[in-house]
Amino acid sequence: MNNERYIIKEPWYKKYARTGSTILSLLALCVFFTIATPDFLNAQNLMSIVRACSVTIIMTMGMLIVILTGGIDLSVGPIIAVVGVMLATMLVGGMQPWLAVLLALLLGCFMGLINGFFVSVFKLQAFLVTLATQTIFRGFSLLYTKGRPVPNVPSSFCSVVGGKLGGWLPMPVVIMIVSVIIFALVVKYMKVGVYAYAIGSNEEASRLSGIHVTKYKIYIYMIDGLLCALAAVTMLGRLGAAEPTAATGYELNAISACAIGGASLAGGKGSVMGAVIGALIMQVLTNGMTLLNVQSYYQQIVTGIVILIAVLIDRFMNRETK
Amino acid sequence: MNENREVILHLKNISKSFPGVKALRNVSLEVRKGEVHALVGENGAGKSTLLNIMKGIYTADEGEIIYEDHPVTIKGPGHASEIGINMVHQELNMVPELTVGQNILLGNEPVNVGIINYKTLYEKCERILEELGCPFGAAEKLGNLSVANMQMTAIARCLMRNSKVVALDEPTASLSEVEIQHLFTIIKKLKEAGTAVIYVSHRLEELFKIADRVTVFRDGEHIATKNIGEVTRNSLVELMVGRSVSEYMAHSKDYSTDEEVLRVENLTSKGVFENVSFSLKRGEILGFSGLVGAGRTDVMRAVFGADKYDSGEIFLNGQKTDIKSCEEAVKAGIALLPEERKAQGFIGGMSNSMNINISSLGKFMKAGVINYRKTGANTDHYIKELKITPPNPAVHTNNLSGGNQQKIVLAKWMSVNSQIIIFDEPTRGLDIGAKSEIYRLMDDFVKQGGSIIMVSSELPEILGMSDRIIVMYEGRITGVLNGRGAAEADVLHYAMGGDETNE
Repeated sequence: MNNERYIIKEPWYKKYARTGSTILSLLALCVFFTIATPDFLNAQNLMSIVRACSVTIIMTMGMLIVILTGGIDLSVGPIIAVVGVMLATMLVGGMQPWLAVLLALLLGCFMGLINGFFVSVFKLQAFLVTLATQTIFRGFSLLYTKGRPVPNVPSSFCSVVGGKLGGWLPMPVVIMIVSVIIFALVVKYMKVGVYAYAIGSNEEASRLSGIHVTKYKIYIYMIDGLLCALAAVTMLGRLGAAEPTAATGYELNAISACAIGGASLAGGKGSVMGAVIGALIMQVLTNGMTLLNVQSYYQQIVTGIVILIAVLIDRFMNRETK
Repeated sequence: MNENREVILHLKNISKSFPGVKALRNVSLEVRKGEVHALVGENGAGKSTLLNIMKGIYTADEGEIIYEDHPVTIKGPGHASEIGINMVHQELNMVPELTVGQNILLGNEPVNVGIINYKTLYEKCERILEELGCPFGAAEKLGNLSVANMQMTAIARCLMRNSKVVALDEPTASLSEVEIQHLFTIIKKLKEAGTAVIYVSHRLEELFKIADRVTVFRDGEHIATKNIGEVTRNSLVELMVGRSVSEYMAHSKDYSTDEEVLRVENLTSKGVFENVSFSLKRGEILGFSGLVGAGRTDVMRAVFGADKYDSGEIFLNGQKTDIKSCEEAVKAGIALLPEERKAQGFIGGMSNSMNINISSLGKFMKAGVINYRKTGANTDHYIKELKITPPNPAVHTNNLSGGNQQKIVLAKWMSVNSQIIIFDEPTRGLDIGAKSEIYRLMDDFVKQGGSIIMVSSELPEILGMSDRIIVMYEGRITGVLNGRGAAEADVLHYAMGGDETNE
């Protein structure tokens, strides 16, 4: 064969173009706010941005791995709420914090298992399954608490999870960074991560390649549930009380972060780095606009526009490669 | 004979690159009014790319398109339709849930103040269907039609748009002999009406019946354009492959042993296949012949654990097995290369490397962690051994030619050390060069002690490659023949439902 026609190489930057553009957007935003307001660029403010979106980032990773398979999880908010109130109740009841946290994480996995079971065993659409469980889980958290918050979580828990490592680094940030690193490694180096991409790209070909699609999809929803539970633990540590209505609308934040980071809702495309940066972009926007005294109504409009721009960027980048 | 006909479409010095592949290099195509212009070449020669440029789906990197004496920029498929360039795709992109009429006028529905006028729509469509001699009505749901009739619908859609240029991409791939004759009549009508027809096909025999001129592409380059009278089948093949292909079937020696690796007994899936029994020996290539829809693919999917079956037993190396999923089949050493490569064989959006290693990741892992150095080495090994081009592990398998995609799927199964490989239509849609390479790889595989089941609808392939031939008809095995020296007529006899006892 004539090999010459294959020598053209993809430009090196192509591979990193999408994540690169997300990072550049984040930097551009930071530069803009630095110029616009003197209050933006200082250690305290930057740290508060990272701390504020720790919970979102943890939850976004769960959403990302589900989105990679071509699914979606609308029930992340209620999972966080259920885990939050159960964990708070256990802690208030005097249970050992480590045991309570372990049980909370298992509970998250279990709720993910329920989603995954219906999605993969009965082959129902993820959107509809999680739409239903969203309502069910929320109802459960309200029923369990009779609609009232669970206050007075013991400080033995809050002072650790909500405290600061070495007196300056907030624990939520530590939890977030550690879980991002572990999650990124799992996605890259373990079957479940690779298979998530494979299933999202072509489920039938994956099955015929000998991948146990049903099993791995359930695992993936369990990982999602686990990360939501971890988000709930982190949130409770910060707030010291659990609300049954907590995390309302968080699913949209997580989906937005994934989309800004270049994930495709059709599945098979997206990166951990992108999703994390996506969540940061949203937080920087909120923070910067608040510092500039932009009304929250405008903030919503701007956030929506940013999502649209991100999706447009994807569109154009995909065009190029066609 | 048509030298003085007016040129309607001239694609001039077109070049187009994809990541990793230069698909077209300075290619030109000139199409005249009222001619059937055949476009031939191996898969990956650039025919489809050129058609897609003509249809505005891709934009050329270089070159220009001259249409009706004016340079044009085709902005997209809609624009191409508007100016009279239409295409009937290999994969018919129509909506099965809608009716024939709705499909024909999709996007051009007659409307009264925004409301679709179905009466006019169906009248218009009935007229054109009648003109084409179609045996179905415009109100029929498209999904209920046979593939051939869907094709007719697609052609009707082209006509409805007042096409000046119609491109047919492998129109006869799924048609029967009668339907092909019908199609040719329609093409002749189009010709008489002054429409230019671009005809892409692998079936070279057809070209001599229908084409006026033929253009040959090879490796993204324009090789020749000739009047059909100036070429023969063999000279065309030579132009396409760049060398003469006398003997391209590689399997000349029978490597079968007496060791039985697979035995299937009375396998039944109600309404699909019934009491299918056969055995496969180590080193054997077992051909499965029959008409499309005889149930061969279904049997193979059941053996591979992809579909459930109702009753029957499967023995592997003498042991009864109970394979319930593809995962178990793969573990047991069975592999399947599906007919629908793109939809089922590989994961298009992933790299060659990932596609090769996806089923054998377990081999390259330690404590649940993938060792990418090992998977990379495995990829390099197979890229070299199977001569996969482009030899680039990072390129997405989507961007490869059909033959190379098939090699990727094969590499995937060789990586898991499969002992029994089921090839379902192994060379479907492949050109002669790629075919001969796949045959060589199949021969190598059985030489090294593997076993192959080959489902094929191409008689030369069945007769040339099989050590033994099983023929199926409507879900039953109607005949078993010795592969060496089996006569075409015998295979056909059984494939048409002829009984063994009649012989």
